Amino acid sequence: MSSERLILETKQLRRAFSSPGGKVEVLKGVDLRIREGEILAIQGPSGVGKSTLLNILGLLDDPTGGDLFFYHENGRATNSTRISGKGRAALRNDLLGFVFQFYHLLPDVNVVENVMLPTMMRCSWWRYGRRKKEVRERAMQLLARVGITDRATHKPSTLSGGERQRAAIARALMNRPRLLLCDEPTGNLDMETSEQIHELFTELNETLGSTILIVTHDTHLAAQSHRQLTMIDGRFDTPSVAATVTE
Amino acid sequence: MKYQLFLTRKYLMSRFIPWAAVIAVAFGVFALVTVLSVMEGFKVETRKHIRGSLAHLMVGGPSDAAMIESDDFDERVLAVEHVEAIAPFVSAAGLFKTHSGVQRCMLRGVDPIAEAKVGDFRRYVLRESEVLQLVGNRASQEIHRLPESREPMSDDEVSYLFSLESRRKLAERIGYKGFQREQPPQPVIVGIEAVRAGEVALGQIINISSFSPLTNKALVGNFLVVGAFQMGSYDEDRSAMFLPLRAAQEYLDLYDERVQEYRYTGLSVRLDDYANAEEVGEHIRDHVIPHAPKNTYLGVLTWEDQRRNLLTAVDIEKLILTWIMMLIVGFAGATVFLILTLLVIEKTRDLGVVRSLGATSNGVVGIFLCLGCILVTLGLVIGLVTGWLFVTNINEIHDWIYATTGWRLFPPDIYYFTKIPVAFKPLDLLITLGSANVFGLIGSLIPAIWASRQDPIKALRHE
Repeated sequence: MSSERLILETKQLRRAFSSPGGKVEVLKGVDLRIREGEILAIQGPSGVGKSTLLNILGLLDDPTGGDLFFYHENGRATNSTRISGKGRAALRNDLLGFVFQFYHLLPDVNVVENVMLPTMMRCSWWRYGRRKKEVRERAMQLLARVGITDRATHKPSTLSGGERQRAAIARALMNRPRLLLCDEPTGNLDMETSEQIHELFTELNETLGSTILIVTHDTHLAAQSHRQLTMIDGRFDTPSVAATVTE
Repeated sequence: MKYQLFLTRKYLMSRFIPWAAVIAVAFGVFALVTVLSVMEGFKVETRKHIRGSLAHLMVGGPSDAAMIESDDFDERVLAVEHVEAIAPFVSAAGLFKTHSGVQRCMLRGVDPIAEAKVGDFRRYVLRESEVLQLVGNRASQEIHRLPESREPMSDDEVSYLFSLESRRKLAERIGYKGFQREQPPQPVIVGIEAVRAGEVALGQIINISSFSPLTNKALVGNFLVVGAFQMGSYDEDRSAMFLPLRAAQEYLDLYDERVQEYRYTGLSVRLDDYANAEEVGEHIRDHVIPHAPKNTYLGVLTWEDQRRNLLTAVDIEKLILTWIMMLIVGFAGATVFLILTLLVIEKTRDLGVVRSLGATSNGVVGIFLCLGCILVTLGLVIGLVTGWLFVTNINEIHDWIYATTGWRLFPPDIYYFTKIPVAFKPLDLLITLGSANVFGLIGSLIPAIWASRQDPIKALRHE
């Protein structure tokens, strides 16, 4: 499924945190390229910087060194350090989709409204007013794709863990993101449900061409990805980006 | 703003706590509207009653016997542009005996026809049937009020009230002997509150003591109570007494042997428009008074000058109460602040989620600002509507409480009016809207900015 077109690239990405004991460097020069249509799994023990990397890639955090480039569909690259706060928010909304370990659905909003939320943020008042029916239809289609149409009007608290994660995936897909960032998506699920989520990712990749970056401890899930990277002590265990391809 | 409004609606629908802020703002606005309306009503009614009981201008001197009848001074005043009518009067303090003790009174000698032209004399002098209606129905809720549509007395009715014939008829009806041949005592009209208090009654002969302002002699005289008046100001209605001008002059020994003329206290002047009071007063002061050789120390006062202390006190009282009431609105703003802060803490994880979905920090500000604006606006509308409904029905509510519990919240013997006065003023509405909006905005903006500064990563991990 993967092509040679890049979506994202990091060069010597670094992230250090100040702590009472001194400066702690979590990412120590990460080089990474993510190609369109691939499923990439990042593994590694706790505390090596996987989630920190994901937060930086998701523009929720800033690197303290190195570069992060986003490639547009026309091939033009934008360095994340040159994007304003508003521009970063727009990129998170348009280009990226997040799937979290703990689902993070808004508890006061029903499932279909949770899924509609990213589009609600994207559209102007006038445009959303005209497209509301269409937006709802798309949300319902995504819920159908992840198999929880019957739970559309339910509050997240009434859903099982697997259903919540499916709803979170549908929400992440709502704005047709170019890259899905998944932080331990099966970390809170039982074996059977985890398997269903694996299958869902594979299906989304094959049918929609979604590019998926998964940070996981789940070796089974990692094994089903196109590429696997292992992080050790703030960097990938192999120096060359190309060499990390295990497929 | 769509997702901000969407989330705001969801947060409002899913929990009760934000509505406490609406209640707080509504209560603050309600209190402010009520107090400002009543205080404004108090101001307006105070002015109205003073203006009704006093003429536009009063020309007089330092003594209660400053003016002499033979002067053509009154003619000169009447000739001044904008002056419509004048009325001479005599005033003096006195004491009268009641069955329970001695009461003070303010005697005012007037020519009833002339007095009616410079003030509301005809409107506040009561017919006998009206006196009986007001005094006879003490338990009635309408006890203190005359209908707005009440027809004022005619000049003939007022003249008749002070006439010899009227006094004779009244004396005969009461059962006094001998007044068909002899002159009955001079007539006096007393305030309705003095009648209500049982100090005097229609047809009663009262004994009044005073001192002559001209000779300083102690004086005692009998007067027949022929009627009553209701100015609507408790103090006046309790202690003022009207008697015919000449009777007052004779009783107060105001005949000046040196000039062979009666003296009087001053002239009440009515103008075509009160707005001209300052100008006319200045003209009289500069061009008329200097030509009155025997009245060198005369001066001119507008009715506002005569009650300057009271009017200023009422203005200051309203100002102080406005500031105090604004503290309540400030407290409502603090409630908005506390509730939104609690909501930010409770919804920290939601904030991380919406940031990860593409919300900007300004967008997050918008969520809580929107929430605050809705709470404040709802509270403002509820407060304004309930406040307006309350103040427009305040006397009915007061009467209902009185009828139900016997507890009079606004007793006329303490306050100045027989009913709670209410008036709306656009500036007061602006003060209410402005203070609620400013405090509400501050109360919303601080938590909104705090929410927008939450680190999305920490927010996502928030338990």
